[in-house]
Amino acid sequence: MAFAWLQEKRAEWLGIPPLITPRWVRLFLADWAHSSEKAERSWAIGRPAGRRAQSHLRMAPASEARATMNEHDRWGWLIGALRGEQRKATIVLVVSPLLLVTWKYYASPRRSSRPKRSSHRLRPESILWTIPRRRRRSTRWSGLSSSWA
Amino acid sequence: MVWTFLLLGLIPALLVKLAFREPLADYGVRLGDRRRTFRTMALLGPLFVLGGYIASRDPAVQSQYPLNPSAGSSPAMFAVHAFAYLLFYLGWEFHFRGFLQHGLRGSMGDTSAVLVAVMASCLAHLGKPASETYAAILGGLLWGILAFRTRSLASGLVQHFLLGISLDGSCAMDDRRQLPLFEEKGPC
Repeated sequence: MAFAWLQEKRAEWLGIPPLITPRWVRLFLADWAHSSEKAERSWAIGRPAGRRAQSHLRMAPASEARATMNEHDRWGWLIGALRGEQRKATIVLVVSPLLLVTWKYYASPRRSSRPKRSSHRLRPESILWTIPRRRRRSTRWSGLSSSWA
Repeated sequence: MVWTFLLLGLIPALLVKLAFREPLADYGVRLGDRRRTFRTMALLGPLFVLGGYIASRDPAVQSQYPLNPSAGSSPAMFAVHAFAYLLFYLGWEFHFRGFLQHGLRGSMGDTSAVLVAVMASCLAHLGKPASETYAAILGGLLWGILAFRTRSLASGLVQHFLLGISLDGSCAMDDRRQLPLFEEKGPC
């Protein structure tokens, strides 16, 4: 396996065709004659009884094997989410909200608190912010109602 | 603005290059179908400039823009503001239309990828005036479709930039016009 990996890296970096690749090794490592993977997939072995697709084809695995398969089934969605084509989508959908929330709370541009000086937006409290504290009483505002000017 | 570029643009771009080992061109960082890109820019660009001006009449929008209140103080200041805005939109467009939309395309299909990106970009507008947030849905749909049709982010980027600059320019000019509204007098 290590040799195959090295061969693959050599091909990636130097462009030399590999003698063997990890996929080949994985293919020939499996004892296909005794693999029950396909049966597990199609007959839903190891799932809870209510979810079995074809009960008449039910097999009776040993209790230990059943426990292992249940464990696999429990985490299968996670393993599937991190493999193949789904891996990219999973990373994108995990990273994007993280970045967006960070951006929204810590980096999104906001208008500074200096209020605008136009009549339809002018509020008493915004005017108070604009004026230096010591000169509040000595300021007269034009265009404002006399009730609070 | 620079933080937006770094967080929404640079980090996802590094992820694409280092984790996915894919070229950024696959995420729309290219001119794509040049004829279609430039045609949509030329057709829709002026509409967005006009849209920015019309939106700037809304008091709720005026209270939010320009983000830098001193942007309209001089042409040089506005140019700096425009450059910062360009960085902001580079990050923004790459994140939603590039990273999110192109990243989900393979597993979800085109339509769902566009709609997820629209949902995210629309939610990122929360806190802005309601008109802008609703418009973000339409804008997201349009620029999402354009990103796939033109195979490039350029058209949507330019249109979004023109909209933002037009809006900020109009608001800044409005601010300048209204500056002498109040005056200070001596003590009573």
